[in-house]
Amino acid sequence: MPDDSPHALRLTFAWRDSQISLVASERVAMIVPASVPEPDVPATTGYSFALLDANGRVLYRRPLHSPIRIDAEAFSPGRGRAIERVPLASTDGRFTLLVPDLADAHAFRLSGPADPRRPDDAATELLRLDVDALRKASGATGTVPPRTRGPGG
Amino acid sequence: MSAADGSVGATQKIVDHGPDASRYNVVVLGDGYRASEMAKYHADVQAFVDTFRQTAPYDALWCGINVHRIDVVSTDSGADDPVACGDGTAGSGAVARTYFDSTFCSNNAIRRLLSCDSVSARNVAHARVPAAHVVIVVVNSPLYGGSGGDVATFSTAPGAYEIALHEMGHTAFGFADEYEYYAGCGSGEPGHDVYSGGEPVEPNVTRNTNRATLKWRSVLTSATDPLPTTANANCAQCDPQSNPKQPDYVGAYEGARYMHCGCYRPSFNCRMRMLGEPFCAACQKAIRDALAPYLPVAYQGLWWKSPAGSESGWGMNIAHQGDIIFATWFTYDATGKAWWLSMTAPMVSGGNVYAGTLNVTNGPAFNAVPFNPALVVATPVGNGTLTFSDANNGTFAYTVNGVSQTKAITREVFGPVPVCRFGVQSDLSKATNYQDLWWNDPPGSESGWGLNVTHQGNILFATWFTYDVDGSALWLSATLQQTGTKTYAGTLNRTTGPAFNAVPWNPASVGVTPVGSATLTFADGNHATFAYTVNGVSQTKSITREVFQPPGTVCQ
Repeated sequence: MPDDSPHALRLTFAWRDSQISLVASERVAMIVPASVPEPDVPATTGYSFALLDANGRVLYRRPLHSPIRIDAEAFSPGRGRAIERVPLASTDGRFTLLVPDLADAHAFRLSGPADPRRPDDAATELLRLDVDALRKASGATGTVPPRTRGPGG
Repeated sequence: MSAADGSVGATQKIVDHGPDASRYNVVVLGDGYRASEMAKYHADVQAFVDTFRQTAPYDALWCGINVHRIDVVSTDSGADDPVACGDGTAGSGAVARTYFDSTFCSNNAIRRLLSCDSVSARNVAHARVPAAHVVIVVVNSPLYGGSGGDVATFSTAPGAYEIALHEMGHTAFGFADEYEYYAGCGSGEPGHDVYSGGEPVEPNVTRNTNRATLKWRSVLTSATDPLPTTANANCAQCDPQSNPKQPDYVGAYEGARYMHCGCYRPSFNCRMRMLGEPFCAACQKAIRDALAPYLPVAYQGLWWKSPAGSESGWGMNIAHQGDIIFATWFTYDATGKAWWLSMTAPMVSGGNVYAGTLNVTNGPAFNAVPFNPALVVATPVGNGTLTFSDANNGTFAYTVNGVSQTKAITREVFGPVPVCRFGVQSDLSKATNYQDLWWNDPPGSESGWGLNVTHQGNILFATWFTYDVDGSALWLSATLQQTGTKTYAGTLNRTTGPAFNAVPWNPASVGVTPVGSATLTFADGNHATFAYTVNGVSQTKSITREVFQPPGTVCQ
């Protein structure tokens, strides 16, 4: 019997410098956060991701905060203490996104500044993926996968 | 200093509001906890969860959130703390063999930057909780630190949990930082004077101060105050002026997203600007909007025996707020007199089972002036359990005075049935459907009686639970037709019927006697007057919704 409960595609991306690539796609029975409608003043700066139908219409859209980590926040203890930012030397990393597995979804689009070190530049299309291909790439889940070496030494 | 330095143990769903596939799932992992420190780990996680739960707006969205704790055991306690760090500070030189390899001075940047192997943490979380939305790692170190990114990390130092709350704002909701500097206001930083980019995508910053199109205009404090609220007179530095408005004022304050000028934030302060502050109203709204799909449908409304109509004459009104149901069961005592019992029933498992003590209450007569709530006496007579199989069906199992029975129940439908959700509307006055439990206004002033309103289409069905002239429980009911824009009126009836435990329960034995009339006039979604005449006695009460779990439930 087909499973018609809501599913999501969990997309894992790797980035190196300004290059972003898909690492994994999983189809998971879960609900994604609500889509954010386009505001009256269209956003032209910053990262966002969207699902598009075959006519290019946006079916799902959410903002995304700096997935490419060119810097980090350093926090100070205690109420009233401010936050500082510090540049990072790291040149690679990963991030994950969730999109709903919608029947009429045709393409996944990731937008943001072409140069992550110039975050105020106008957003451009960084990546476009075929949703059918993402579904086909989805694998089974449920086991602890091998550990991948990460940052922090 | 790898996964060889520990193991992954049990996974425990420590906050369970229903199936993972339907809820927002937060997964908490530990690092730097030895097997002998699992009790401390559990306590540390619980402390975070307690704070998370009390943080607005998560407090109002809690019934849509599951929290999972994964027991990860490390060989050593603590985290790496390199001697040398890019910020010039000196660490202890500790090297801890931990599963997620947590370290202070991550990237040799700054001592307080505590991070872990986020890829490994994500992998473990997704393997154990496939429907994970957010992954958080608690690091067992008394040194203050934390970081964000794909996984939020924080130490067990006092207040460090704030880092996780701030970073969730970024990762889960795409919030921008609202602070107006990069390295610090006193750093003399160049390149952060005036924002020159386009409109930012994040919901909590903007370059637009036009009230008509401002992205957070729905939560502005004032419809007439000029915007922007503040302007920075010297863009070479952070704006030194203090907040000219009250702390929770929402307007447009200049300085945000690492820029002294040209970019605006909603409030003077926010958790996205400074740790320890509450989320500003714009951020809270964005969180509520994002998490709305996870909120279970509230069971709020009028229920009766299933199949519908099979035992017409008794029913149950359910007020459902967060994890708590307040139920009033209107039925009949052994003599056939109208009798009501009430039950405060917290959720006991999985989002669909609620149980509590059933009380019979005595109090001042419905027409007592003044109505003294101190004279209301509730007497436990048994217990009840509500188990819902879906949004419209369930069972009511009860024991009353030693009599145990179970009834299948379903929603009573007499018009378009509204959908009710908890926590989606913080301002109840804006509600346009009046279905809820109402009581005397101001709240608590006449605690002991109430009015259940079921609102379907243009019809209200009201059950008034109150007290007879002898102080015994009494309920009256009315079907109220819309007679004006916000006015509903109808005949008030007193009912007799078979005892609650009659088998079979024969609806043909129910007798309905008109005793007067009732009119409800709503000033807004949260205030009304209840005017009635009962056996020639006419009175008017101001009423408001009874909110026992803020912000309450609204139907639409």
